[in-house]
Amino acid sequence: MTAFSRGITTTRPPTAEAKSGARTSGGGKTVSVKRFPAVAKKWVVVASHSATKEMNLMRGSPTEISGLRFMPPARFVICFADGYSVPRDVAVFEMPVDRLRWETLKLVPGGKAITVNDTDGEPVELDAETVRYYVDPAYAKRLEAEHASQQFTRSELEQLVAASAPHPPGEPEGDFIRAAWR
Amino acid sequence: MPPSAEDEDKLGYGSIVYADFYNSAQENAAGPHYAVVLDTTDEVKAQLALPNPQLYVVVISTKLYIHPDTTQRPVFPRWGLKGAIQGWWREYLSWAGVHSVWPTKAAIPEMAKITAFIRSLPPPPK
Repeated sequence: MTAFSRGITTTRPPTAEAKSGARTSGGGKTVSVKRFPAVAKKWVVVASHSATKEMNLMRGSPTEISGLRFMPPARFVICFADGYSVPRDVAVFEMPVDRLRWETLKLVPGGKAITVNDTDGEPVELDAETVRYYVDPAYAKRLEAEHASQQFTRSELEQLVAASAPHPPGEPEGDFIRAAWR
Repeated sequence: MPPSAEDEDKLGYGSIVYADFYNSAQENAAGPHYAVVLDTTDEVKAQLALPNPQLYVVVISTKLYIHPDTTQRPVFPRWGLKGAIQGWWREYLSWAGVHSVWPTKAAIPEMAKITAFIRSLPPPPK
């Protein structure tokens, strides 16, 4: 029996017999039945939390995209493996919307990313974690809080710069900007 | 052209700036490059209130042959840029040397990957 099914079983309301505290045995004898003690109620709550966790695991990852549908002219619906589904405008990704052909928006097999072609036909990939960050404000807030502790401190940055290795003199750089963005 | 007041407003952690950089010979021959701001947004705002704001950045280059591949990470396609983040090329940049701020900013999941990438690198050879 899984924790999930245990959770369901134990949260059922007590039967009329259990409420009355008595039931009839097979031989017609009445026997008393103990009510659940308070500690048992606590256990039921714990089991329910465990069940929710297990259910989330069964649902899948919040950073795995399970479905994507473009709705012209500029909206899409996206679904994630954990059941989160939402319609959004393409502007949500903070990309120059007029440099991209949004009708080419598609899901990469495996659900780890989506792609959209730029006006030159070059695919632009957005990984599922970044997509979720942009479409789900609660996820974004959680990620920002988690990442805050991983940001470099000024003293760490000072050490990084002290050990920097700039490029040696040489030929000039190539184009930095993708053709469709120019 | 110096950055506009609007550029200043949107500047923060993960902003991408276009600025002059010195090469290893301390000549400005490296020319302008794009670079990602590593300072926190709070620190950036505090710096902008000072007379000579300074920012910590990691530089982007299209010269992918200079350092081994393991010290470079391709830029995120969402940004609309080309080249790679040069994990060993970190700079302390004067705001006065910034030409412009790129309209797209690195998102937190992207910055998490950049931060982890820089932290994973061994120190560059002397």
